[in-house]
Amino acid sequence: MPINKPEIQIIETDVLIIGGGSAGCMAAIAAHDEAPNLKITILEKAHTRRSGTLATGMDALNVVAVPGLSTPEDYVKGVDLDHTHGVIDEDLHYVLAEKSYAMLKKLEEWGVGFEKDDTGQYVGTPVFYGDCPGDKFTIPMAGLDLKLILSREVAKRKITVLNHTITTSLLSDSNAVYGACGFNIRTGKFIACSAKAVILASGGCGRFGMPSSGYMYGTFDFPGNAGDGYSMAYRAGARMRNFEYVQHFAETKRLNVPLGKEYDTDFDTKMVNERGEEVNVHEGSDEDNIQALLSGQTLYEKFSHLPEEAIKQIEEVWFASERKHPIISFFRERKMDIRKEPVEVGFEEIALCSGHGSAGIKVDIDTSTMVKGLYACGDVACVPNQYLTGAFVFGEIAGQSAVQYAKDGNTKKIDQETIQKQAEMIFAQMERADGIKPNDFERKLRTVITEYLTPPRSAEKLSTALQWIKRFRQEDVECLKVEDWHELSKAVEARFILDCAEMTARASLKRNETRWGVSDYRSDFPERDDENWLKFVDLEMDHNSGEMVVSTSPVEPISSKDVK
Amino acid sequence: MNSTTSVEIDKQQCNGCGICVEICPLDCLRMDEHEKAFMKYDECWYCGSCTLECPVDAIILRLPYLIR
Repeated sequence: MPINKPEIQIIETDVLIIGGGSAGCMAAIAAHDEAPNLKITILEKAHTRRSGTLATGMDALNVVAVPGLSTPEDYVKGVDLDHTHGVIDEDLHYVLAEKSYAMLKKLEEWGVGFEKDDTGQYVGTPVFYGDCPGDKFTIPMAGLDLKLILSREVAKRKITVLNHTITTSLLSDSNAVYGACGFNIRTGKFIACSAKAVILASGGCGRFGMPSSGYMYGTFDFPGNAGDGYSMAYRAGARMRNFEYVQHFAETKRLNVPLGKEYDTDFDTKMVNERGEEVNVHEGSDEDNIQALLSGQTLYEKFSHLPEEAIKQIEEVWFASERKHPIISFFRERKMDIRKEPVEVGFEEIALCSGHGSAGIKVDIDTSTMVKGLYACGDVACVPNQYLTGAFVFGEIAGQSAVQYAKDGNTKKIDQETIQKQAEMIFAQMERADGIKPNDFERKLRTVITEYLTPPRSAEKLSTALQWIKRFRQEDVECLKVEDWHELSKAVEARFILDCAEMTARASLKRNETRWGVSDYRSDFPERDDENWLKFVDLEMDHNSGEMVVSTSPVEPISSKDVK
Repeated sequence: MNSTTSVEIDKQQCNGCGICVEICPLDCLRMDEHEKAFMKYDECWYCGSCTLECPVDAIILRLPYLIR
């Protein structure tokens, strides 16, 4: 497709939200409700009706401290015990749990149903895998209409939504962020948006390692999230945290969708190896899974010992769950019956996501980042194990914080020439005569990520990863060649994935211990070392050299400051 | 059906409304020259949005060939 000068549209807004999923929609709604006269704009890569990590809706609100069932203190303890192992900013988790019940009530008011027992109390089931006191934090939803309700609430308000628009970079100067650039992946129209405050709510990096199926989009997390916000925030000067921690779950082989312990904690299913011996593998606590990962055993989840009634119940849960479409297809197309045969399980891939993982932009309890005017919420912000509740609670806070900041701020005039240059640089990938296809580049990059960044890792493997990353930057990223706007968005995303790979490689190389089992296992430092490593590994960009700088900072127990 | 495509659209049923093209979260779908939807990019995450939104049940969703 030959193109001339790209068409550029310059728009102005008070608060700009990048990503219209659960966190982004909630941020937009909260910003509008806080200041109805301000202009609020969402840039969404897909469509807000079917956006974010689970386009067809979610089946539970995973972290709710329901009065009478559990407390925010229980949650902070649980996260640390089951997930962060001492490397935690406790204030964030306290705020999340403390505000969770009010959030449930708000969603309920909008029409989201939650399951209750005969006495009218919410049905609280465990979210953690270890024995954590008061763990009744998961409140199942009755129905899968969350997405439609949320997009309806956005539509009710005066919020501008630009769908099908990928954000390519943040606009920032030495002091602050003042907007963002992107383009419509259908029409190619280039957008430059100036804003007084910007909220990143663009999710994690679902497209990171290559899934064992060899299918680039066969990921556990939504593959539309390609680390966009991680890369853009890093390049704007934000501090990035916990990138040595990768999501590395035991999942159904090839399907890469949770079927086992995640959905049937009430049922006595068994994980066995190829000899039929029981093994301790589950989707939670990463350190328990190390033996299974290192031994190279073939793993199966077994159901055949269960009575028919239990099997029927399990199937009922699966076939109504948030991933029911692939689960139903999987059993139908393979003609599989769990009464007769076990389901093979494996460590299918690695990914980055704060929602169930840990990696993200360092934020304070008001969602502010290290960059003025830039806020972050949802899977892109570093609040380990925050799940959907985190997206909503911190989405709401981000909307309110951004409004406060925008009220006192000025819009910075966008410089036409800078934008023109940015647009031409991106669109050059369409005009060059030949080059590397983004899909080929992405496949090569993600194969390297699988080979050298998947635990078990060593200093040698990580150094090899860094050599590859350097080579990709020198030889490949400037030679991508695309045929249409859709493919151009893939070229942009491939660069985001590359930045994420470097963050994981450098952070892993720094942490000379193993803290989180299969999520950061270092074969050359296989033990946990609290004396030296009870701290965060942080990454920042040195703006003079453009190099990635690695540092550490102390963990943050609950402060005495008022965290309301 | 032995196609490797995961989103199969029944051309007789499809009424050309374009909703599936509008909402596909991975931008996989387009309209053809006869105003019928088709899968242009093999990048489906089998989320099920297209089948839920199609007003005339013209879409059959399967797992991609590499996962099937």
